[in-house]
Amino acid sequence: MRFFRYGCKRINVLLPVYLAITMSPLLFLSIESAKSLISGSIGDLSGLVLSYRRLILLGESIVLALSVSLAGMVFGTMGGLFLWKYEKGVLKYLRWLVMLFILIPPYIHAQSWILAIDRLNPLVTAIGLPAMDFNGYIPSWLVQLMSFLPISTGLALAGLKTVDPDTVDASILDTSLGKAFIRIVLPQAASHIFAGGSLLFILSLSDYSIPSLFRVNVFSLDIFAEYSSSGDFTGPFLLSVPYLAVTFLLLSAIYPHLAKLEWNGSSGKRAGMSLVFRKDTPVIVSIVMFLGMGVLLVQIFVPIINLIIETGSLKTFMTVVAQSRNEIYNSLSVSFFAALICMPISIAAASGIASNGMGKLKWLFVSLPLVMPASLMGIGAAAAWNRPVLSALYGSAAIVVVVAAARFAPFSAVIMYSGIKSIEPALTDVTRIYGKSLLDSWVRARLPLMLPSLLASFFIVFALTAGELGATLIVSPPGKSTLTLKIYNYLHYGATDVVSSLCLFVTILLLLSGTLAAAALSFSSKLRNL
Amino acid sequence: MKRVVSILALIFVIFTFFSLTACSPAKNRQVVVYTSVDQVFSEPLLKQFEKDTGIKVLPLYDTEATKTTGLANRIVAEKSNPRADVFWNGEFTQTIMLKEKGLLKAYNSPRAKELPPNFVDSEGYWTAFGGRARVFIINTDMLSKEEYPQSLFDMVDDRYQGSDIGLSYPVFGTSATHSAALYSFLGNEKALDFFNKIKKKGIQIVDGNSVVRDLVADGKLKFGITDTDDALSAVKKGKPVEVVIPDQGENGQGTLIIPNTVAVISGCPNPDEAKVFIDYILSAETEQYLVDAGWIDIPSRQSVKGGFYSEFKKIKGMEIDFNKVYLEMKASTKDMQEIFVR
Repeated sequence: MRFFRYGCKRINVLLPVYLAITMSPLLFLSIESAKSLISGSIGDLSGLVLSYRRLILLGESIVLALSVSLAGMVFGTMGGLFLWKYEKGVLKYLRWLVMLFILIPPYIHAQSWILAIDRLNPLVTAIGLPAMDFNGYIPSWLVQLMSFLPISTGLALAGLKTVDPDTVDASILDTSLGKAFIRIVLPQAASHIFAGGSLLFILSLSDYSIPSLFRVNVFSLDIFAEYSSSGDFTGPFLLSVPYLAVTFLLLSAIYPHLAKLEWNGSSGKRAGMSLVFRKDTPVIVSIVMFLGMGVLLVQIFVPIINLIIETGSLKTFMTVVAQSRNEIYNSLSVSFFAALICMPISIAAASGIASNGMGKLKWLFVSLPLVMPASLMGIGAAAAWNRPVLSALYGSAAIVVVVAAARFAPFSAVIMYSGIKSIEPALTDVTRIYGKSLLDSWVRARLPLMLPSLLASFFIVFALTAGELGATLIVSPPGKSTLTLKIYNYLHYGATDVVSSLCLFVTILLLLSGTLAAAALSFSSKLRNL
Repeated sequence: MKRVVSILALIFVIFTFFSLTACSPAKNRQVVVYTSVDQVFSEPLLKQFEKDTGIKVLPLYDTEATKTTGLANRIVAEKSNPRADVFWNGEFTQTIMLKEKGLLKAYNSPRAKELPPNFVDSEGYWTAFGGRARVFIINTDMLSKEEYPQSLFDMVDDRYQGSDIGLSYPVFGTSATHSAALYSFLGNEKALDFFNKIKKKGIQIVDGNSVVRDLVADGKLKFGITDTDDALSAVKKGKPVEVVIPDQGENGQGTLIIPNTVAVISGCPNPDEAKVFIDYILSAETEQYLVDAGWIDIPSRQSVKGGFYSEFKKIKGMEIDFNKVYLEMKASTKDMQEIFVR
């Protein structure tokens, strides 16, 4: 921890900036709600009671979220096994492709699956089977699973990479490969797999857009309906407190596991998959991993193929993109600055966590903004930041940057934390002693050592901001529409070719930026190992 | 410490860049318009307004993702420091909600005299114009003319299967306004009974009026109830659909006509430009433009020619009081949540 004592603590000056950006919406909503409750200005509280209907709705929403979460853990582990085994050769690039699809927004998956089923139905009816009715619980579950699967796969893979190959090899002397897999491999990877499942649970529970598209009612839709009809956020905010509390508890449980992730590829500490396992993989495990990879490929290619078909022609694509250049510029600039701002403030937050004392409490503070659904974050930000003294900020695209930072800086912080922890303290000590100045020490040692984390943070925040909708549409300034807002506007008009073209553009943009980041990560990893 | 200052300076430069970018138009005359009217219809008109008046428009459009209530709720969230000058709404209940919350400023536009008396708020806080209607969109491949529904209550008639009929969530948008209007017109008991029957019949509750349109146009539903602009967009695309206006007989109750509303925001930054904009938007020329564009289907002036279906000018509307419909909104939405969001 010498690193923090001598270097990072200086940057802790930015910790209040991190807290101001990420916590102000939640803080403001809490204060306003408490004031309304005390003054009695909320009025009729009967609408906020957790009635039998709401309890059932909450129960059903939890069942949906649990089923998405469980399936995500199962298929994520299955796919993760494949990626774990094939970490060399051409197949190693598959892991990047899978990881990049973390960034494709759920609405693109939903649009693609609806188109795919529409396209399949004539074939189904031609062979005498009834057309598929793509509505209800199963399609909702499927599309949410497809949208979130790369997250659980990535975490399962990270967990599998923590398995000690020597222990596995030793155990094989006494038992079969299959039993070794169940008794040694899975338990060692379990905490990461569970973290992935928990994240999927939270994402599914807070999402009403996909379930309502497939005619499934969920608790978050009811909260939104309450808010829409009243125009008042305090009541719906209070109604969502139990949900926020559950989410918060889950997050605080999984965040330490997320912090163990390594963003710099192979750290050299692990030997990878057990050699015995690699050469003589049990048949059942092989079947499972190929099945998992098959699901991942479906998850990747259904959106790509359908969007290409629906776009129609290159001319349509180019025309639509040309007509959307303002939105593209706005999306790119907002995403760029959000990613940039998140880096210094997240280093501050991460170094704050890494310093001694109150470890768990600090994790809670850092992860707290993640419990806020996007629309609540937007409303909280509008109410908190819209002050005459801050007119220049609120009236400009900077507010979209601030809100994106508020939503995604916790992700960035966990990445930075992992980066800081992976740095050998002796290296920074040497540069501190022999470096000309603190700046010299930063430029020559700390930043290069943290480069993988910086790049990962930049790329992830950039991509998440590019796809952000819920909070952006509440704070976006007039005349500064983003690409995602435009896609949602055109969804309403039934302009499938325009929507598909723009979705395809977003996909290409995210894949390109992800590929660049992956290449940079790989390059920096090689440099570190020299 | 110098390094920290450098980092803070960098952040300051970034924010300054954004602020300058956004603030530069303030040197000219401008008006900030929040509109829930679909962007394809409102955007060309706003550009024309800029050309005609030299006042720059900074528009903010609503999206289907917020069930077209996002802007009204945003105005509420921004009440301590209003950013919008004008709220141009595609319906009326959200506008009245803003009035009730004290967020509108009275303005009696000279153009308001050309409009029906019930289209102008008695205290001058909002003015209505033009309108869309709630209509049936019918798949002509799946229903013959004799089978077309003629009344809203045909939705619960035994002639039709519930799974063949579509209705968007009656807790959002114009579908919610329609349920509140039925509460106002029929009385709470009758209206509640009607919606309970809809639930019992298993009518498809879908995610928006445009989804009703698409499902009928694609042959997945035989018919559904939606807004005229949605229905007509499918007709214009040559889909196998037809539009039927419900309850038009001599004893029919008429269908719900939903006018646009426009209002000045209290404490807005550009009140003079807001008034110019409202006068412009309430003109007969603008109404004719919006009719021709396909947003307004039922003009509020005799002098404005009808649009795609000229007979729409003669539509029989439900006799409702907009304020009373608003007052029913809370009760009806609560009931609709109880019935349909479960």
